[in-house]
Amino acid sequence: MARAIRCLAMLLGMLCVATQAPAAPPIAHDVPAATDQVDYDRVIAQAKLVMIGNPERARALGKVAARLAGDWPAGAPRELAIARADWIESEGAYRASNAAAAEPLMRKALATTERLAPGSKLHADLLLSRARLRREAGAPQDALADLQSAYRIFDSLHDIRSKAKALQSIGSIYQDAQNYERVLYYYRSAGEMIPKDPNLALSAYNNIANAYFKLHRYGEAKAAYSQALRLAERMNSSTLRAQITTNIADLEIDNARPDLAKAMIDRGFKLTSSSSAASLRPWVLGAAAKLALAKGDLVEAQRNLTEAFALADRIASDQTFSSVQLTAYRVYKAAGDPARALEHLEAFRRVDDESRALAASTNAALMAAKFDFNNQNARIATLKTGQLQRDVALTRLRARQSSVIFSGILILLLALVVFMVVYLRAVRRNRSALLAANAKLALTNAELASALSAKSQFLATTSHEIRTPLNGILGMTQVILADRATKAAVRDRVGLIDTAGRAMRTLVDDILDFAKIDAGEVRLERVAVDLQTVIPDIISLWRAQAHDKGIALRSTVTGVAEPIMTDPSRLRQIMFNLLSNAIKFTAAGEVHVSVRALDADIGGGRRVALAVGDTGIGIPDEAFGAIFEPFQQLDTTTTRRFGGTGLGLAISRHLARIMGGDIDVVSTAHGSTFTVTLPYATAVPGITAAAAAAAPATDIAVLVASDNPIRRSYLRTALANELSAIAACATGEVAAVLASNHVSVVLADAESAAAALAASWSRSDVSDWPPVVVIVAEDQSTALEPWRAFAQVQIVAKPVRVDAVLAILRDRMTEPGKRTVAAAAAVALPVKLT
Amino acid sequence: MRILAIEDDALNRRVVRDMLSVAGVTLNEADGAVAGLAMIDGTEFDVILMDLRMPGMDGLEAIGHIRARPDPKRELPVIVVTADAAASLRDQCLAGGADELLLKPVSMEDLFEAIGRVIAARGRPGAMLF
Repeated sequence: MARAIRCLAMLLGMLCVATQAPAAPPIAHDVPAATDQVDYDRVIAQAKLVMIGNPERARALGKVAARLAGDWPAGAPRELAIARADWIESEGAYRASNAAAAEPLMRKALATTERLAPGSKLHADLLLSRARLRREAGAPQDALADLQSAYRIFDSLHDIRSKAKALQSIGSIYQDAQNYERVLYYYRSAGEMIPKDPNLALSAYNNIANAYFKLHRYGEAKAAYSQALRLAERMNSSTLRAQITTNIADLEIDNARPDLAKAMIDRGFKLTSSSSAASLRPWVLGAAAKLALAKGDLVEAQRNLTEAFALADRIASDQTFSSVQLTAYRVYKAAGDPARALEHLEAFRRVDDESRALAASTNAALMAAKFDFNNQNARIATLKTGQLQRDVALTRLRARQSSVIFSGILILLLALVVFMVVYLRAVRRNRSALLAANAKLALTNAELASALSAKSQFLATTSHEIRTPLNGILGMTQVILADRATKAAVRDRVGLIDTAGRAMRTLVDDILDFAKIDAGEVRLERVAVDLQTVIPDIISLWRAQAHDKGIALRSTVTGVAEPIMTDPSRLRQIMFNLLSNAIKFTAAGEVHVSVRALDADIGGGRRVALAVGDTGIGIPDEAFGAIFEPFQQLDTTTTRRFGGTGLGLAISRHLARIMGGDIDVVSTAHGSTFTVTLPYATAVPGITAAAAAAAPATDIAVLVASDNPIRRSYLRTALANELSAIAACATGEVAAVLASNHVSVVLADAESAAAALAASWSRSDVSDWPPVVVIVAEDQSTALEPWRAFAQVQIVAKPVRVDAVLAILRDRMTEPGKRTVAAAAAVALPVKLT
Repeated sequence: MRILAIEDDALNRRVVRDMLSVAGVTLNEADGAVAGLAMIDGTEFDVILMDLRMPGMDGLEAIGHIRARPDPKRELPVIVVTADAAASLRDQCLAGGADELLLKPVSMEDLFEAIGRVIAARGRPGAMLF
């Protein structure tokens, strides 16, 4: 009957597909028949019920459920159903002590669920399973990460009970680390969530009590144990009662209450006389022995121990049994039996060492995974020593010469890098999910606010403090380099100081940028950018460097005729960083930039991919994650060979992500390709494309010639109100500019240097020049008398109004007459236009 | 060209002084806002370079005083030179009456560009060529 219904359902399904319009949702025909779903659900429910009591049966039921789901029509529901069944089977296997069988099933199920139903309860449950596995495999930080993810999913599903379970699992990791404060924190939080659930509450209370015990807070421990005991009594479980009773007995002995301890031990004996709890008898005996030792009754103690160890063959290496081993050592030592004492001491030591090693490695792993923002000072000190080694290597590469000034830069850079790396590590860790969970549970708004303002204060102050002396350094180097009288040897050395200083400034800017992005303070513009002009423009700035290294630099831009709405300066920043890396890490071959539009994928819009490919050294697989992390180079030798702060890629990826895209990388030993993808949002019609960066001027309306840089800037700005295509250069460069560009009018600013101007220009063939308008101070015009002979030279004496000058220029621009012949425009100008 | 730098740190003043001498300009200096405002009273300047963090009156307050003058000197171009890189600072300065903001460490080229620009920008239509 079920089969018939199934066939009918499939037929109907196919019929629906055949007759339906293409717009019908595709999932219609992979949902199973109603009865099949019911059958499957029943098996799963049954399995869950027997999981704790009879895990083998649960495992078998899981297999059955998987088979049932296998018959369903192909599609996502079938795969997820199989995943769920696999999970059940793996849980059953694990609890039946067959972890080897459990693991592959769990991984398969997790892979399916991550693909088809991320963020679902099944996903979170599978993460809990994997966390358990990872913890046992000695990777507590990975386990922690899984637990945090699971917690987040449960939170979004409002599944309080599961959230509490996740917190308890985190607590038990901290138990491995023997960090009892944290254990308390997590178990208490879990307990607060589900006060009514006896199973979870009992486990919570018991673990809380154990933690208090380890912290020697006996009163609180006892209270928690009592709660647990009450729950165990209500659940009528002799095993649990016996266990807790023994714990309390242990406590009372340490708390110097032998009478209470005896009462507990007696109760323990009574409970373990029943068959269900008999396995706990050795522990009760251990507690009895401990009590006897405390009373000084060695005979009684030894009697108890003998019985305990007779029963406890299998569990001799159990962690919790180690306390009995310790008692045994003490008893036999006091009884003058060194051989036995040593035997038990060694057994105790073995287990104790293992748990210490576990605690140490767990702590080490956890330290890397969490950061307590409020204790930043202590953590900074700890991290600083480890980080100092790398930072010394990092800053060493920057130093190329030794001079007094340079050591100043080195010390400053060291202090900056150490503090900024440490602080930014702190800021980054702060964002980890663990702190999100902490904040939700315990962190108050006041604490958060004060911490944030402390961070801003710190960044502002440090940045300010570093920039001020840098101003002194770079200010003086610029002045020395600008002085023509500086000798070549000195110029060379000062040049190096200047370069190092600029590198430091870049570092400060980068770090601030990174921190701003991290704190979400970056404001993005949204402007229409024409990639077809902007990209070649950006690339042209790198041509010289590529040429010097002997590598080819080429670009292909296709399919992006429409301008993209994005932030032009940030886009430029990203492309700069990628190009800089590509050229830096390529010794020979080429760097190729390709820009193309991607087709829209399902659910998304169109995208643009900007790829920078190189034929450089490539990136090993294991370093893929690390290269996007701040301050990680491939290795320290890379840092020494190639330089760079290591922040560029981190910033670029941040930027790409907040711009709605991402950066990914593909690499072989023969080169890497970094690809930035961004949403191809296009402008609303009517908005014209923003002007690209100033295109290299080949057609210049007015060439301003002045030897004073301030006056160059002044004149250019003053004229730009009314005219466009204005360029400026020094008077000695005019001839060269005219040779490779088309210039309509030259505006020469003679000021007080009219004589010098006349002298320098007399060597040129002025008659071939376009119209020249010369501005002179009133008393200087005589020096230019010889020039009046040329028809196209017009001398204007100050004072003169700006609009008058503009009028003159306009007139001369439209005048027929000689024009320079423009050389091929594609050649880069030998002269720097200011 | 007459330029006044109001800056309390001697090294920073020296840097600006040397940079401007490359452009052939002699710098006038004041080591505090109060002294600087007094110098503005007595001399005709073309541009003021203003530091922000100074003891006593700070840069923004000084700019306020300049802009509140009754005479034409209220239109003096002011360039703020500061080491503070806070994102909101630029808006704050511009709103407070500054014409431009330069971030330390100052690039000599940027300094010259900025000076030329602000002189041109403050010039009214019909003004004389500087």
